[in-house]
Amino acid sequence: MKENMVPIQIKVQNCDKIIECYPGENFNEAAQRKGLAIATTCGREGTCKSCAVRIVSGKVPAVTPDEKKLFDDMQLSRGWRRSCKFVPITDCTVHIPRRSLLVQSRHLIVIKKSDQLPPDPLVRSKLIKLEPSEIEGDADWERLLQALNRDETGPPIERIDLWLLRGLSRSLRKLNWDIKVYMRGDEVIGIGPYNSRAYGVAIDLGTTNIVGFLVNLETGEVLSANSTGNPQVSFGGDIMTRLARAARDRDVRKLMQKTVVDEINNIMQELCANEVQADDIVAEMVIAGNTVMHHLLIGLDIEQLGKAPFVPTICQALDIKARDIGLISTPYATVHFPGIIAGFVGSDHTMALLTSLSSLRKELSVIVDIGTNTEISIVDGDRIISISCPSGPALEGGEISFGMSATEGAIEAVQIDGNEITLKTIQNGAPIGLCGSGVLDMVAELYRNGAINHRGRLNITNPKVRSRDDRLEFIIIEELDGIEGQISFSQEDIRAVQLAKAAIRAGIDMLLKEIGRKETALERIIVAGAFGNFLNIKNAIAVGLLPPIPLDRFEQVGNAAGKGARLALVSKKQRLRAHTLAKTTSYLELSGQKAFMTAFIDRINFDYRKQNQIDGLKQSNGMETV
Amino acid sequence: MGNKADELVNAIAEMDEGKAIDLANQMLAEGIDPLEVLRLCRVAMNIVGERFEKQEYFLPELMMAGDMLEQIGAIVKPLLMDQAGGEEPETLGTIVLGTVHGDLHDIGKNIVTFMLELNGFKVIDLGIDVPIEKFIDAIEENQPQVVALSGFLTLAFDSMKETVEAIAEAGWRDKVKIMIGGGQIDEQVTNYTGADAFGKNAMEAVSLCNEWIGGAT
Ligand code: B12
Ligand code: FES
Repeated sequence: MKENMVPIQIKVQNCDKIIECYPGENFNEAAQRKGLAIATTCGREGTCKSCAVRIVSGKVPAVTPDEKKLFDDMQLSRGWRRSCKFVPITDCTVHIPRRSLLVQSRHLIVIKKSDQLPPDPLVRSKLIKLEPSEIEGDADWERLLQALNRDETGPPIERIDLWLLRGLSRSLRKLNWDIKVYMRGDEVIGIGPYNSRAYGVAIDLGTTNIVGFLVNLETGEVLSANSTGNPQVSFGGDIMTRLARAARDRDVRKLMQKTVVDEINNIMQELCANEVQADDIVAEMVIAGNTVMHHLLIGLDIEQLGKAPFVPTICQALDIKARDIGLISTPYATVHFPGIIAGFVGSDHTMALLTSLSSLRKELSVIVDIGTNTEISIVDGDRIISISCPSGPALEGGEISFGMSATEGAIEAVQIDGNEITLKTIQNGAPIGLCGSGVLDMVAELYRNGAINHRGRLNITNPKVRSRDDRLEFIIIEELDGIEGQISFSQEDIRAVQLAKAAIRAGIDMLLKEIGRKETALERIIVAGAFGNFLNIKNAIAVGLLPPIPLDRFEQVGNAAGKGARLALVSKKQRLRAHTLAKTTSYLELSGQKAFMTAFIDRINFDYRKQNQIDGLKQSNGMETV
Repeated sequence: MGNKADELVNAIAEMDEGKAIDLANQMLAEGIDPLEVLRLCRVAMNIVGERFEKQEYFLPELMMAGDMLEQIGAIVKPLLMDQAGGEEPETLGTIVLGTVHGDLHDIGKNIVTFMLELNGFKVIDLGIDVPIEKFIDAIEENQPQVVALSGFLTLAFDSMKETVEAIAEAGWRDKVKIMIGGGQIDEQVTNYTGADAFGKNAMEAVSLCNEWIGGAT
């Protein structure tokens, strides 16, 4: 081993990169060090194969029993291995399938003019001109305080932020006693020149993605927005895996906290780069996310959150100084964390409710945010009940044989007509895998074409259905490019979708049952979230994910959590409403409910009695999915 | 009767509930040994199990078959009691089973219980979110050959580990075999928890018990 202390060179043939691996280091980590992030859905535990790469030349490690279970013989003989368990011992060449590459590139989000929000901000400002200090004069703060309270109409000012105080005397003199003072409640939180401005940042902190918005607090105008992957995914794709790892090891937990904080700092810098001048201040932030993201970021205990009965440390909304959680680029800013509803219904859902309810008349509505955990609320007049459904990642393209995130080349819409398969990919790229909306379309189309029966079983007599190692799969594309093999949809993939749609639909069943109404009585279904924005509602109805009510009662609203966070950022009134929402929304625990289990099992199959109705929908089902 | 027997097996395997119950009733009325009817149910359930393993059937079919067997069982039981003079039928062995603390998933566990019972084991099902002490008490009271732990959450792995350790501390580790199972359980988790083996599904739970206790099919 001694001569091996020099790093081993691994050539990545499809990215034109050389990755250096230290002896004993796995390839997945080495690649991440080099800025090439490969998926790590199971947090490098070795159980998910989301990190699979193909070793094209060089020494291919022997097949382990675990790998026998994850890959078929052909894949193994072609050199497919898990990158998180692949510890190279000689130089070699590797192919990383594009669908396993996490696209870390940030992208800007286009903001519509209609996104301007009516401000009623928490932060107020006042222009002050003080006389230069005299020899025997009062202390700087006392004189400022007097000036501020002289004719102030708002609440009296009593305090000043400690960090600001430390530089107060210098600032006053540098600005020649001509200043704009920013206040929040009874506290002074910022000082700048006359022409300075106050900004706010709203963050939707998702398990997979982080979205940020920069807002002018005085006008409510959204100035810039961007989105990036949550770098915590290297600790596990889903929150339970991250929770478990953080609960087991305090150091890991701290590292996870630091990882997100660093990323939020980066996002803020980018958001502010072109808009915010050196003298301007970011005075206020709102961060919304699920309860686990929330607890991890603030640094709260999380062990109790992973086990029944899933007790959060705090549900109440929280105001914290940015620096206290490591957001040092804006140390004086207050970070507002909106209230939480329950252990698995976080402040992101509170924010989605805030957005949806502002346009809601008193109709019977369901708000559903589809993700690995799908939060659903039913709104019946003043009564709101929410649940969390364990839908799993299938509907986001996760844990599907050829699933991937919604990036270039992902199949986002599918149409099957007999032997004819029509695919639509993101940015018309060459197809490399299926993202969530493609997965849903796939199952719906298989069912429509009789390629699966009402129990979800693939029909072996269908010419596109193959049996390999006793496992059935539907071939979508025969041979990709000779390197990655085919693209197919397996029986297991179908089962995963069945479980996901059954969990969500059974959840809706439970909510309706709770208020004693039928699904036909639903007047509105609001589908929120990234996947929800792109899903084909007709297909969602066809597979039984959503109830069969007229299409015009559905509304796809996109990132409702982010919008809600912006509302809470600029408006005192909205923040108060969110407060009330979090407090009055009741939570229905599905665990241990026999009725949920029955409903769940009932919803796994496809409803063949509804076949006619679904066929009826087919007529109008074009490719206008996106 | 040969024909009817085949028909019964078929009706269950093909999920024809009405027909299956009718046939069972008819056969019993014709004086066929209730034990024979139960045997046929087991044959049918094995077919269902095989189809499940081959992914032809899925959870609803398992549940439906379970439901049919439960109904037939309810008809047969009083007859069996008469036959055996009120004594409990003999079992192949005893299994203490439950979902570990912190975890509330029980659909999978219930299927395991059902299949074990169907295959002649006596199952003490402790339910969900079972505290460690409850397992120990049940082990001491029932002296099982096998302890079965179910769990679906990642954090249940720790609960399983704790439970296995407590069983060892109570001095039972070499007197019982411990198997675990649930959604994400694999070889690695088995090593982590210190259990003896894991099963991917209810069929594997039955084979493990058969292997350990040396029962027949
Ligand atoms: C149904 C379900 C629920 C129901 C449970 C209803 C009930 N009474 O059991 C409800 C809604 C209550 C629920 C709640 C939660 N769930 Co849940 N749930 C599921 C779901 C959809 C199906 C699980 C299931 O029952 N499958 C059916 C069984 C029969 O299938 P099976 O595994 O093949 O069963 C076989 C084997 O497990 C084996 N087996 C089982 N036990 C044993 C024991 C032994 C000894 C052996 C040998 C074999 C064996 O035999 C079975 C029969 O063949 C899964 C998702 C999925 N796709 O699996 C999530 C899932 C397990 N849940 C999950 C989560 C996160 C939760 C919640 C924390 C979150 C929430 N949204 O509320 C809560 C936690 C509740 C708790 N404390 O346990 C996650 C776990 C993720 C993780 N890494 O930990 C999953 C994987 C979904 C996901 N991907 O997010 N859930
Ligand atoms: S198997 Fe490598 S990350 Fe899951």
